[in-house]
Amino acid sequence: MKRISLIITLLSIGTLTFAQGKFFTRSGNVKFFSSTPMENIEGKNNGAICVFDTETGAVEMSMLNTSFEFEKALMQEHFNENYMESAKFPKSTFKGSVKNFQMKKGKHEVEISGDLTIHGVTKKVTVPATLEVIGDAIAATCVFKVKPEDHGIKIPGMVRDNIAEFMDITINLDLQAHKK
Amino acid sequence: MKIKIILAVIAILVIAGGTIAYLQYNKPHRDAADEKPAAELTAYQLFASFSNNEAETMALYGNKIVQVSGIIMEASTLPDGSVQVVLDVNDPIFGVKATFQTPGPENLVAGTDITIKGICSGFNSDVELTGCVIVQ
Repeated sequence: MKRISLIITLLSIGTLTFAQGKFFTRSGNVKFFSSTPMENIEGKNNGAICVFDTETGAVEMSMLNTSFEFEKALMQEHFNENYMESAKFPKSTFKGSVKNFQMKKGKHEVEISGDLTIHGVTKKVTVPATLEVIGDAIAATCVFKVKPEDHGIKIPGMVRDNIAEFMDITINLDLQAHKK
Repeated sequence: MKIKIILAVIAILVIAGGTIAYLQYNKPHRDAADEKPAAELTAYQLFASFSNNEAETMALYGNKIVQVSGIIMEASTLPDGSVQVVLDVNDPIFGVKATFQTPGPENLVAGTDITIKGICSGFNSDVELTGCVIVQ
């Protein structure tokens, strides 16, 4: 169902090509970073899909939790099995809109508001982002924090000191316009 | 004498426990190059299977090494140096997206045939394979 929704968002009416004003990436980079005196943990995903409609401001993003890669195999295993429960909640998603954006060359500081779903729990968020229009592409950068407990992720007391209270999330997208 | 034996047993258990924990913490990532694939199929077959029944296909191939052959639709080197290809599945937009182990292969060109092995991560409009290596 989500795939159908994404395709409808992507495609212009009645044709299988992208409409003007729609920008897309299938290789969005999403990182999360947890820093504590005990250890640093970093996960990286290079497969986030994002669609941004510059005419309406609508933005949708989706990624597989199992595509996050870690320096240590054990961290990756714990991330998927103990915390994200990726078999049960395979995707993290965002659906919302960009405010104050104009399709003009240069950098734009904007706010993005919408529903962030992680671990099956949806929260309303508003985060700052920088969108840079470069020719037929938009480079998007967004940095914000997420508290695992806000999304129902339980962290056992035994390892609580190893995991930061807030995760630093960094998103880098190279959104390309698709021409007819 | 009895105390010495007990202390020796405790010391052995502590060393053994520490060694196991260290090895577990530093265990290597799975390497697709070393594992026999659970299945060999075309990009089109894998994509069609996920499109028809995601849950069933995930149960079959999810988190397993699969060997996939197809034609490269897109090839790119990402800003962090990772190499990614999308294999054609006769879909106007989506396909089988494969990210290679680093350092990734060079000079991959759209339109060429390729066979790869990688971990099947799941389906997110594209079928996603990670930690891939080239078979042929």
